[in-house]
Order: sequence, then C-alpha cells, then structure tokens
Amino acid sequence: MIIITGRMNNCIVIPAFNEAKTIESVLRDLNRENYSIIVVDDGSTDDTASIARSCGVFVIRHMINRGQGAALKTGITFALMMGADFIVTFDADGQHKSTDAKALLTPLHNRESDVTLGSRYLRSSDKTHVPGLRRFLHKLAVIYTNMTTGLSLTDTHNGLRGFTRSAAQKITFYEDRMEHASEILEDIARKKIQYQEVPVTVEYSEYSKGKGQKTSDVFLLLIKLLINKLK
Amino acid sequence: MIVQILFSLFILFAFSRVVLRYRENSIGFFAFIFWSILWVVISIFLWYPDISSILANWVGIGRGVDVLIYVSIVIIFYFLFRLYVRHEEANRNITNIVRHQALHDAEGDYIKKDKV
Repeated sequence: MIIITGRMNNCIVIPAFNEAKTIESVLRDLNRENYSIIVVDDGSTDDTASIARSCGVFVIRHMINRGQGAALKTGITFALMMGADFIVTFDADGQHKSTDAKALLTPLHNRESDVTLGSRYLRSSDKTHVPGLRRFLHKLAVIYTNMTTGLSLTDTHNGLRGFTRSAAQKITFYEDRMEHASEILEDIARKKIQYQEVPVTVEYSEYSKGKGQKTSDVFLLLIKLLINKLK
Repeated sequence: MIVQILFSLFILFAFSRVVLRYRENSIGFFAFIFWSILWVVISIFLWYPDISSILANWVGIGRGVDVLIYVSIVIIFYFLFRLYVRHEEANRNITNIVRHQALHDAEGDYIKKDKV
C-alpha cells in the first residue's frame, strides 16, 4: 500500500458541521505550517466539504450528521491509519488559532507528555475572552470532572487537544455528541496517560457564540455528565 | 355489571389479537406470555375489584387503585429504560456504519493500492 502524500508527522483533525463561512480562513491559518490536515465533514448541508477540498486538505465525509465526538473519532482513526505520529484536535469555527496548535504539539515533540490539553483558564489574558455565564458553568464542570476523574484540570471542555500516536491508540471513546469530551478525560485518568495542560486563547465571536455550545446546552451537558456516572 | 361484561368483551378481543400475532410470528413467545398474563390480571381486577383493596391493605397503601397505578408506573419506567438502552445501541450502530462508509471512501480517494 503506497501512501501518496508523504510523511504524516503532525496531523490536525478538524470536525466540521456547516462551517462553510469559517473553514477557509481556518485552513489558511493552519496551512502556513507543515501540517497534514484532516477535515471531517459531519454531514454538512452547505459547502464545507468542497471548500475544504479546494484548500488541498484531506476531507472525509460522514453521510449524515453524527456529532462532534463521532467526527473526531473518524478523523483520529484516519490519521492513525495514515501513520500520524502526533494528532491535534481543532475546531472549524474560527475560535482556535494555529499558534494554539503549535503550543499543543511542542510538549509532545519534546516528550514531556503523551497528551496536551488546551486550557482557557491558565492565563488571565485568555480567561477574559470567555463570556461570564459560560465561565461559571465551565467552573462547575471542572470541579465535577476533577472530582470524578481524579485529574486536576482548569478546563475540561476544550476542543484543543494533542495526542501522541500511542496515546491516540490507547484512548477509546464512544459518545457521538458532546459527552465525548468527558469520556476522553475519563480514559486518560483510567489508563494513567501522561497529560499536561497548555494555555490557549479561544476567540469568541458573535458567529461562534451562536454556533458553538449554547449556554443551555452546557446546562444539559452537566446533567448528562451526572447521569452518565451511572454507566 | 354491564361495564364488566363490555370490558370483558374488549379483553377477549385484545387477547385474540395477541394470539393471532403470536401465531403469525409478529411477536415472540415471551411477549405472548407477558401480554396474556397482563390481560388475565386485568380481567381478575375487573371482576374482583376488591382484590386491589386487599393488595393495598397488604402493602400498606390507601386505595387499591393507587397500588395499581404505582405498579404500572414502575413497570413503565423499566420499559422506558430498556427502550433508552436499545436506542443508544441503535445510534452507535448507525455511527459505526457511517464511519465505515466515510473511511472507505477516504481510502479510495487518498490511498492508492499497489497494483499486484
């Protein structure tokens, strides 16, 4: 089997659902570095896939929408299939910057840990970007997740994560929708995988605030987290 | 008396449907047994309503009707839970199929196989 594209050293996995407005600028931002980029189009009904294809990145398409967790898993599976050594998860709505991807990869390259987790709450300059109510709900989620997993994190629902190949192979998660975030952390705790938090800046624009997790969804997430504990 | 006779006719009809469905393999054996027993129990309470009162006194709850309602609710919650589990499983299966298809297409697009 010949892999046409050459080395897949650093792989960025971007799950995307109807992000035609922002995907191009996100990809241009990332394309400046020598990354292998995988966009997983999660059943978008707009031009997300074709725009991504025109930017010359790998595009995988889910025929129907299955959720961010599902899209992430598909992307990571593909990245591993293609021989990726390092995988970074990245959002398609413009909230993340390529400098954050680099920040996540550096500790992995230096073998400081197997997993890097982005946090909005390590630097005060990053904290101020987060809208008030959201910050409060995140705080609740952090307290709860730290209690139940034994991890000590400052941000438990951040789409920016970095994995070494072996960490990506070890971590399994099944939830399709937003619950995958806590599943991943639980697995890291359970399998005692070396992790560290990395400060990142998440830019909230009117667009991404509307598109991203609504505050009501975060409420629902907290409730689901509690129910899932029964599993 | 008239009410009991009318309801009994309906129960006979309902039971005949259960038998029919079982014979044509629309429902399985355990479903057949479950629904048969259910209609029998309903008939007993229909003709001997005092039994629910006896049951109520035995359990320590006020009215016979209340006991029946509490039991029904518990049974409904149980079935709801089972339904939820099956639903989750179905969702997982759908995602696995969608993923398989997506990766298969991607393989076709990006990975060229050696010509043997």
